[in-house]
Order: sequence, then structure tokens, then C-alpha cells
Amino acid sequence: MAGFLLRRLVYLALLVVISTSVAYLLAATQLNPRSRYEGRNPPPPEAVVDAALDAINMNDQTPLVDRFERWVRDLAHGNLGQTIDNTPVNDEIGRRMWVSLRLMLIGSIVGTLLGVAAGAYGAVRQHRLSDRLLTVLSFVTLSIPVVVLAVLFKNAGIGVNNALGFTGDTKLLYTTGEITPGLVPWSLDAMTNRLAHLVLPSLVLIAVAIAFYSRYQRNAMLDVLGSDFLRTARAKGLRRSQALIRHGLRTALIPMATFFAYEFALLFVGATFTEKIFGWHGMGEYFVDSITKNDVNSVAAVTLFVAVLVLIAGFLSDVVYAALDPRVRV
Amino acid sequence: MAIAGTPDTDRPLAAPPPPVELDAAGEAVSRGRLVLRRLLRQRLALVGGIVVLLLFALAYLSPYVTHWQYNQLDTSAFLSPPSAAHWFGTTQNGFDMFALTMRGLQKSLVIGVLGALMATTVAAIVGAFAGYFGGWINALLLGVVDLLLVLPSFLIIAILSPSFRGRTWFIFVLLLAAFQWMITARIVRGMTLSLKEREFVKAARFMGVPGWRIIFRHILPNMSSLLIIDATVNVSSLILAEVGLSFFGFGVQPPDVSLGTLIGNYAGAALTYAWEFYFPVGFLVLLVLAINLVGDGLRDALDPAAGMRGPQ
Amino acid sequence: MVWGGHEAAERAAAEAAEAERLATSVDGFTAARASRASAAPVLDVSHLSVTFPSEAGNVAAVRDLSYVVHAGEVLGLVGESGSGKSVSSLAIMGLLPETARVTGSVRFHGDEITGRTDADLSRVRGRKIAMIFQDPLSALTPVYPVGDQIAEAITAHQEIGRDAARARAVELLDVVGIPNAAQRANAFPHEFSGGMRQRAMIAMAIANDPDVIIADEPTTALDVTIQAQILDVLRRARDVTGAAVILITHDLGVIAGFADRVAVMYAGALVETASVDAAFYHPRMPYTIGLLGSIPRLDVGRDQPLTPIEGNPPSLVHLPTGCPFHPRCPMRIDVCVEKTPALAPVRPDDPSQLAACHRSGEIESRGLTGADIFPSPPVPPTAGADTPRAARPTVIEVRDLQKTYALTKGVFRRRIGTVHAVDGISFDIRAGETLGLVGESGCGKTTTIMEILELARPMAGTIVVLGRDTATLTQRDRFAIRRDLQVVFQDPMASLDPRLPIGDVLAEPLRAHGVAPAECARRVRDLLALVGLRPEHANRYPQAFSGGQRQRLGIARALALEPKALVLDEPVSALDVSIRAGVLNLLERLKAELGLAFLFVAHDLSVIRHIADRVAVMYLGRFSEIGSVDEVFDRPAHPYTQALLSAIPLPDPQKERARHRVVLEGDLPSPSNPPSGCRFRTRCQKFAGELNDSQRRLCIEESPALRPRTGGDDHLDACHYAETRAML
Repeated sequence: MAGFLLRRLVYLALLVVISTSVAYLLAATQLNPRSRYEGRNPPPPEAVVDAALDAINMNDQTPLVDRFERWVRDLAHGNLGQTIDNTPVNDEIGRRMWVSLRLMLIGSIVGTLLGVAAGAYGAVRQHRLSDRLLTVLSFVTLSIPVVVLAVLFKNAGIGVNNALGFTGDTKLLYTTGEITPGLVPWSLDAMTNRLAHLVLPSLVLIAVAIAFYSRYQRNAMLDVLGSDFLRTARAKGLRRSQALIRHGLRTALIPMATFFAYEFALLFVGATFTEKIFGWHGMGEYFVDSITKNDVNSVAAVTLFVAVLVLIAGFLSDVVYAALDPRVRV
Repeated sequence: MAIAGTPDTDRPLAAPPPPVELDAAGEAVSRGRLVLRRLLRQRLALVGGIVVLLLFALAYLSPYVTHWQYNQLDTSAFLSPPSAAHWFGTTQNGFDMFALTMRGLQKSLVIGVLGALMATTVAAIVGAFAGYFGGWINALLLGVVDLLLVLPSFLIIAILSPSFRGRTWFIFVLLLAAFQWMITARIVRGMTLSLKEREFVKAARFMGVPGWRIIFRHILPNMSSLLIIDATVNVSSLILAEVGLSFFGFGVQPPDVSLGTLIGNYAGAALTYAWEFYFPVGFLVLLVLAINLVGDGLRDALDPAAGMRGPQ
Repeated sequence: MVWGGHEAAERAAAEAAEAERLATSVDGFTAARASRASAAPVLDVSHLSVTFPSEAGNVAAVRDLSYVVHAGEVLGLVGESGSGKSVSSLAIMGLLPETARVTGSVRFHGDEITGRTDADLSRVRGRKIAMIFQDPLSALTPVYPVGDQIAEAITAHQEIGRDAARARAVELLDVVGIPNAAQRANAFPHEFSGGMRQRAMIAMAIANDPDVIIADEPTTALDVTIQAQILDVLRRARDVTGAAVILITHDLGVIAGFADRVAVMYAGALVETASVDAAFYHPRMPYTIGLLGSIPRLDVGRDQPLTPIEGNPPSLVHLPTGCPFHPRCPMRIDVCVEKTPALAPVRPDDPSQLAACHRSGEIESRGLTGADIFPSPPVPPTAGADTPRAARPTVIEVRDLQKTYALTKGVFRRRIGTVHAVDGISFDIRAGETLGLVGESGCGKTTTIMEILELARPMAGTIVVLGRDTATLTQRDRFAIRRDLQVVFQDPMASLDPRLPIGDVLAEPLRAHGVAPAECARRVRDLLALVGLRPEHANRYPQAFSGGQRQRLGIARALALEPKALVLDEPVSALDVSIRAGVLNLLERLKAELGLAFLFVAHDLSVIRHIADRVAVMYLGRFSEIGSVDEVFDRPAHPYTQALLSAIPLPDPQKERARHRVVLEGDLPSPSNPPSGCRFRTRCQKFAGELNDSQRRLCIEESPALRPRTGGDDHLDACHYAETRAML
């Protein structure tokens, strides 16, 4: 057992090391941090640019091997290096991951619960009007790219604000950022303001989650509907609805374990499109910005962060699975 | 039919048993027909299929019909709303929005179909070989799968986007497909493991049929339903992935256009010059929705368990 | 209830007394009903019909079914798959899918229960009418402890607290014979063995003291020794509840030993109903007669001619006109095609026997039997019987074969032990000889044949096939030997690739071994003819064939390369009874004509008795007895062989009633942790009942070797205290 776990751990660590190194090397060769200083007027002296790039270990004049070595050495000390703006990457991630969590927590939970309920309901009412309606709705939602969905919700929010006369600085629904600056932290005003910022992006997340989970939960439930144990449950005197909920839905949750685990472990990774459109400075935005800003260290750090979380999610999915299904318990 | 090869013995009482015919003489050919019949019954899937075909035709035939090409400027019409001359209006540079949308549709279709074929093929081969041969082949292939799953695909493709700037979009499709096959490969591997224990595969092995031939003759054909469904679903996922990447400029590179680049370029105009945004969006959603409906219909038609449950 | 004779009356009295004892000893059950044979039936089914819509058209699953059951009576509902026996019971329970159309009437104590609402019916289900399903693994919800699932059956109908229900569930588990019930109630279904799960199902069924228990193939998924236990529990359940029992099964042996009355179904309709003795000793419907003639019997040897019923059951979508059995009936006359016969009394002295046959009067008056109606093929002579065994060449030889597996558990694949699937077995098979390998599931018989078929170096021991030691084979040698060693699998559905036409399936071994295409086509035609199919079938896909035909195709493919030896893994166990006989006859003929050696694996001892020359009985990876079939079956020396033979029900009601039955205790021990010394000792009836402590020490400490002990050199057993005992 211990030997097995150790081997598994080494394997996972190897995956993280390889993926992060690949990302670093790709970023270091493909991205061009020097472009930040190009086209300035007057052009800064070469030496100044080199010094600035050296400070953040992104000077393309330094051999790649040396840069990589320095980056690895820093990493060994728990230091992910500097961003292109010469701030610590560690701080950046430390701040952004919580932003992502604040954005996604409510939307994910609400969307997952509603999606599971809708899927189970659809399966039980298979081929009826309500099932068809749910199916079509979720198909349409899943066919709209999240970016577009976010843009649509944002524009709808602006429309609502305008229609209800919120044209000044105070809005009913905010479309940018997570809080209006200058409010007293934890005050009632600040909390309602946060909530008003949260509504639109949450709706995007909820819509997507409902569409996604209702499809999968419906299939999982349909698989269970014909099973012998449901028949047994009814044979001992449970009504159809009782048997469906107590025995059917409970068992149909098992195949969803993986989705639940990944969803909740990846809350910290954020939602790239939603964050980008609604101007939340979370991890998802960092994804895009690190590349557009040619921020080599950030790219590598984001990869490392994601890789570790994906592996944690894999572990979590085993745990959730075991919690839901006594057959795989250790 | 005369079943047992036993010689006819003396029958004391009656006429010899009549031949009991398989009344299902056509049953053998009928699987294909059955699937088709079920598929035709799925009205939504049928509509989806027709829409996909129409979109294909529209995308590739319309350039021969309209006056404007996607790279042609109309210097007399900037930001003009839809009109008889410009069905979908024009952009601020005077490009014809209809021509742009059709061009984008072409690109999205090609990317989706080509990428899906590549992804599903790789998934089928990797999964089947890993599952059938096991051992170090399995360990190696699974390692590659795990590594690709751990790498954030969006980031990697985005980093590499400068390298295919100005070159062929084919590299982009290749990259999209490279990150699309792993989950299916795992499913294929799982199914291979169970098919490998099926008696017809064992029978072939005990006859001396080599492994690679068993894979291509027995294993992959027996999961063709899964592969067909997977390829269909991949088409829509890849089209959506393209939009996400192109939205931020990491996908199809100018001067080429795709639905993704159009949506990315004109998202800001949604409230002011709605035709620039909503026409490409409309076509994209229609396309993806139609493909998804076909995929879902195929799933119902190909998967016997999803059909009507008969007695016993 | 129909009893015949003094003996039966005595038995009934004894049973009633026993029931009373049990009922008073078990809390919570009402006293045994004195009015067991009261006049009014508990359940009265009349003109019940069930139709399902399907792709191909309407499936008439049950047609115009009528029967009654009285309290305490056991009605055996017999039929092959698709005969409508299960569907009709689900219709009674109101558990069919919504698409099913049910007509007719079901009265429970005189009250109509068809057409009631779900909420209304749910008060009857489980409380008044309980059901036991075939596969207890899939019939129990995997995520809840067994005790909770039983308690749920109680709380569904009784105003009783959770704790009280739990306590009652533990009591019930105790009643059905689960050791350590209080602790085992917390276990999940997958932690139970098959037999224990079925006990739990029975506990659930009797939880509310029902008036009717419907048992749908309750022992089909179980091994024979476990089947004997479960039938005992079922008997006890009937006794403590006094309920009427409807026992649905395809196993005529089980019916003979358990039922009071028999109802035979064919193609959705009842074709004959009679008391159990009448049904077995003077059946009057050709289908019943044919069915009885087609089962190999444990108490008769290979000289018993098996009479297959030709053809297949009709499609329920396109039923034949007239009598549904007429296409297969050797007694068919014109009226059978034109008119459906009604169920009618056939015997003047027994008005309760009804048969649906235009010619049953003739059968009755002329006293026709199976041998008269169904042609019996001649029993082919055993090939090379004139050459003594020792003089014939050895085809397969196995010495001290061992095979172990790692046992892992949980998502982390933690290794929790080693399974000794095969632990040192030796045997040889001579040319033209059939060795039967019997044993219950988990005994290692399948592992044994897979080790042989791999043609690889075994973990320990040696395997010699046609004179070649598998440990020394090169890839090329192995390929060459595969020509001579072929296999037929159990499941005819799974053994043919559904995506290939039959011609390609049969040609596959030929092509793999480089036979030219033209020659392949010729061979395929010959092979089809050899197994009794038509050459033009080569274009069809496997799905177009029935189970029996598919198994013939599996055999044809195995014979394609003209092998010298055939390994048969349960080749007839997936087939319906009437089809089985035809395949067995075919195998016998092929063996005689082609001089093949068979290694025939089966769990059904009757089949082995019919087809094998020698038999090896396997228990937990070792042989407990090996010898010629007649020797082992007539003079079994090992207690396990004796128990196995005793557990198999005979399709003969009077013999069944008179038999003394050895019912083994408990389940098969885990093969990862087998008992010390003799592996059978934990369940051994001799160890438990006949030996004293000092004798037992030998069993515990020393593993008995396989030795000739009780007779000739060709009868070996592995028991320290072997002693032959006739069991049949």
C-alpha cells in the first residue's frame, strides 16, 4: 500500500514537473518580453532594457539554459519569479485565486444543484413536454460559446440598468469588476455592492452549469431507471416517486462524482471568459493576460498551478467516488 | 430447418417437423436500416442534419452568388446596416458582413470536421493499443494522456499562436486536435479492456490471429457507435474551442477569418452596430446546435440500451 | 393442493407440524394458518394478457393466462426464456413499464388489483404480495446497507420506528440463516455472497408476512449447493408465512422437488397445468413431453437418448396461426394450424389436469410417451472404445498446474491478498476421450482451461499439448499447435463478432492459418452442413440466428482447422432446455465421427454424466475426485462429490421426495485464504457430523493427496476418510 502510494506520488510529481517545464520552455522561446520596450519614444537604452529584463529573468540575450536554471532554482525555494511588471508571481496568484473563488463559488453550487435536479426530473418525465423543453434549452445553451453568453448577459444587464433608470454611477447590476472602490470593507453597503457585481457573471455560470449537469444527470438517471433494484424497491411497497428519489437518484449520482470533483477543485482556476468579459482580476484573466503581456514566468506559474489543481481534482474525484459508492471504498 | 444432423429415424405418428424458418431473414441487413429508421424518427436530429448540410452548402456556394468577397472593400458603405446591397451590413472598413460570415463559416466547419476526424482517430488507435497490449505500451500511452490532460490546452495553444501567425491554419487545427482526444482514448481503452475479455476476441486470439489485426477487425468495429458519436461531438467542441481562442486573438490569424475572429472583433459593437456581432453569432449557434442535435440523435439511434425497453 | 397417496399426506402433515414449530418460534409471524387448503384462492388470475409495443410490432408477451393459487400451495410456473412467465408475474405486481398494455383480471382475495393507481398498489406490493427476483446483486440497491433495505420494506407498510424496523430486519436476517445477523445487517450488498444476497431478498419478501410470494428464478444465478440452501430457506419462508408461492423457473428438477402444481407456459400462453406428479409422469401436451425428454438426467447415464425439440420458440411479434407449438410439433395435423386449442381436461380421473392440444385425447387414450412422439436419435458409439485407454495417445497432459492472481481492492488498487485459483492439479486426456471438469463458480475450472489455451509457460507445473511442453514453445510452434487445439465458449451471443457475417466468422481461423480464399469458401459451406445449418446462411449476421444455432456456429468455427482436441467452456449452459439437447447430440456425433478429444467444462453434472467418459470434480483450485463417469457418479467417495450429487434436483417428483439430501453449510471460502489441510473441511458434512476430534485433526493439519483408495486405479479421491456412498 505505502509502496503503491509512493509510486503514484512520484508519477504525479513527474507529470507536474514535465508539464511546467514544457510550458516554461515554450513560453520562453515563443513569447517576446522585449517587445514591451520596443516602439517607445524615445527608445530606452539597450543596457537599461537588458537590466530590466535581467531583473525578472526574461532577457532573451541570456542563454535559455541559464534562464531555465535560475527559474528552477527559484522554484525550488518556493519562488515563482517576478511578473513582467516586476512584482512577485506568488503574490499575484495568492491574490487572484481568491478572486476566482469569490466569483465562482455561488454560481457553481447553485448551477450544479439546479442542473442535477433538472436532469433527474427530465429523466423521470422522459419524452414528456417538460423533458423536451429542458433538453432543447440545455442544447441551445451548450451551443453558445461562453464568451458570447457572457457578452449577451453583460449587454442584457446594461439594458436592464438603462430601462430601470440606473444610468448614473450607482447601478442595479454592475458589469465590471467585483466591487466599487472606496466602500468600507464588510459594511452592508460593500456587501450589497459585491452582490450587485456578482449577479450577472453568476447567471452566466449558472446557465452553463444547469445546461451541462442536466444533460449528464439525465443520462445517468436514465441508465438507472430500468435497473432491477428500482423494481425491487417498488416491489417492497415504495411508490414510484419514492423509489426514484431514494434509490434511483442516489445511485445515479455516482457517475457524476468526477464532474463534481473537477468542478470544485478547479474553482480556483477561475473562468477565463467570464472574468475577462466582466473585468474580474482572477486566475482566468491571468491566463490570457500572461500571454498577451509576454509574461514568461506567469505562464509557467499558471501552468504549474493548473497542473497541481488538476491532479488534486483527480484525487478528489476518487474520494468523492468512494464516498458515493460503497463498492469502491478502500 | 432440419437442425440436428441426426439421420431421420422412424416417426411413429406424424409428418416430419416442418422447417422452422428464421422469419427474421432480413434481420442481418437490418441493423443499418434499423439505425436509419430510428434516426429518421428523431425529428430534431433530422432537422439538425439538414441544417448542417444547408450550412455547408451555403458556406461554400454563396461566394459564387454574391457580389462581394470577404476581402473586398466597399468604399461607399462603412458601417451600413443590412440592406439589399449588403445583406448583413458592412463593417467600419467597408467589408461585406455576409461574405465575412460565410468565409468564417467555411473555416469553422473545416476546423471542426478535420480536427474531429484527427482527434477521434488518434483516440481510437491510442486507446485500443493501450488497452489491448497493456504492459509498457499501456504505461507509455497513458503517461502521454495524463500529461496532455494536465497541460492547460488553452495556454499552450495560445503561446504557440505567434508561431502559426501568417502560416497555414492547419497547424492550428493540429494543435486543437492534439488536446481533444485524451478523454475518448481513455474510454476506448476501457472498452477495449472489456472487449478483450469477450469471447469472440478470445476465440480469435486462440486461433492465432495477431493482435493488431484483432484490433482493427474486431475491437474498433465493435465500438464504431462510440467513435461516430465522439467524432460528431468533437466537431462542435472544436468549433467552440476555436471561438474561445480566436476571441482573444490566439486562434485563426488575419487575414484569414473565422466565426471566432468575427465574434471577437465585433463583440464590442453588439450594442451599437448589432449586425456585426449577431450575424456571426447566429450562424455559429445554429451550426453548433445542429451538430449537437445530430450527435444526440445518433446516440439514441446507435445505442440499443437507450431505445425502448422491451420485455425481459 | 393436490396430493397423491399416503406418502404425500404424511409429508404434508409433517410439514405442517414443522411450520407450526417454526412459526411459534419466530416472533412477529402470525401463527401458521390452519386453513392452508381453504377453498377460496388467494390469487386468481384470469385472461391476463400483456402486449408491448416494439420496433418490429406488438409483442404479445402473455396471452390469455389464467390460474389460481391457494394459501400454502406452491405453483411452479415453467417455461423457456420468452415464454412470458416473468412478464406475467410483473403484470400481477403492476411493475411493468408504462408502455405495456395489460388486460384481464387479477383478483387478490377476491379484490381486483389490475388497473389500480400506483399509490394504491404500493399498499399491496410487499405487504400482501411479495416478490423475489433472479439476480440478487442487481436487485439490491448497491449504495445502502442490506439491513436498511430490509427495514425499508417494513417501514413502508408498518407504523414502526426506525430502530424497531432495524431490529426486526436483523431478526429476519437471522430467520433466513445469515450468521452474525446483527453485524452483517450493516454490510452492503456487494459484501454478501450470491447465496446470502438471495437470503436477504427472501428476508425482505417475508418482512410483512405476505399472503403470496412470487419467486422469479430465485436460484438460477446460484451454484447447486447454494441452490439447495436457498430452496430450504424458501420452504421455511413458505412455512412461517403460510403464503401461496408462485415459483417461476426453467429448471424442471427444482419444480419436481418443490412445487405442488405445475403450469407450463409456451409463447406467452399456458399449454398444460397439472399436479406435479401428473405433469412429470403422464404429461399430455407434446411440448411438456418434449421438454421432459430433452433434459439429461443425473440418474441415467449416456445411454439415455436425448430428444431435442426441433426448431425455436416462435417470435412473439409474428405468432403462428393456431397452436403456437405447431411448427415444432411432430404430431401436427391440419387443425393445429387452423385453430388454437383451448385448455381442457384430458384425464377422466383427474379433472385438474388441463392441456391445450388438439390431440391430447389421443395421447391419453393411446398412452403415448416421449419416445413415441419425439424421434430419438441413436446414441453414437464411443469412438475408439475398442482401444484400451492406456493404449491411446495422450492429447493434453497437465501436471501440478498452479496459477495465482493478485487480489486488489479499492480505488488505490491496494493488494490485499493472493488468489490461488488453481493449486496443483494433474490430469491427462487421451485421444477420442471426453474429460468433464465440474465444480462450482470460483473453483478454478475456467482458469485451468485458459492456462491450457494460452499455450504459455505456466506459473508452476507443466502443460503438454500433443506431446509439446508449452514451456518450450516458440511463437511459431504455438501458432502451429493452435490448429489442433480449439475452443467453444459458453455464451453463443458473445462468441461471434456481431459485426461480421457468418461466412467471415467461420473463415477467420482458416485465413489466419493461410488457407486460400477459394478453399476457405468451400470449407465454410462444409462446416455449415456439418453442424446442421444451410450453406446460404453464410451471408447472414450472427444476430439472425437463435441461441442454439449460434452455438452450432461456434462449434463449426472451432472445427474449421480440423483440430484434434476441443476445449468446451460450458457450451450448453446458456441455452434453453429444449435447444440444449440438440447441441449435446451434435457434440456427441462429432466426437464419434471425428475422433475428437474433449475437455468439457460444466457446472451441470447431468450434462457431464451424459457426455463425458471421465470426470474431475474441482473444489477451491484442487481436484477432490477424478475417475470414470459411472464410477464417480455411482460410487462417489469424496464428501464434496456426494454433496454435489445430492444437491442436484432430479426431474422426478417421487424420487425427489424420497431422496435424502445433504445440504452443505455456508459459502465457498475465499480462495485468497483457503482453509488449512483439506480445503473442503469447513463445509464438509462428514467433518462436521461423523468424525471425532482426533480424526478431524488430520483434516485440519494435512492436505489429503489424490489417491486411489476405494476401488480401481482409475478412481482417485482426495479425502482422508473416503468412503463410497450412493447418492442417486
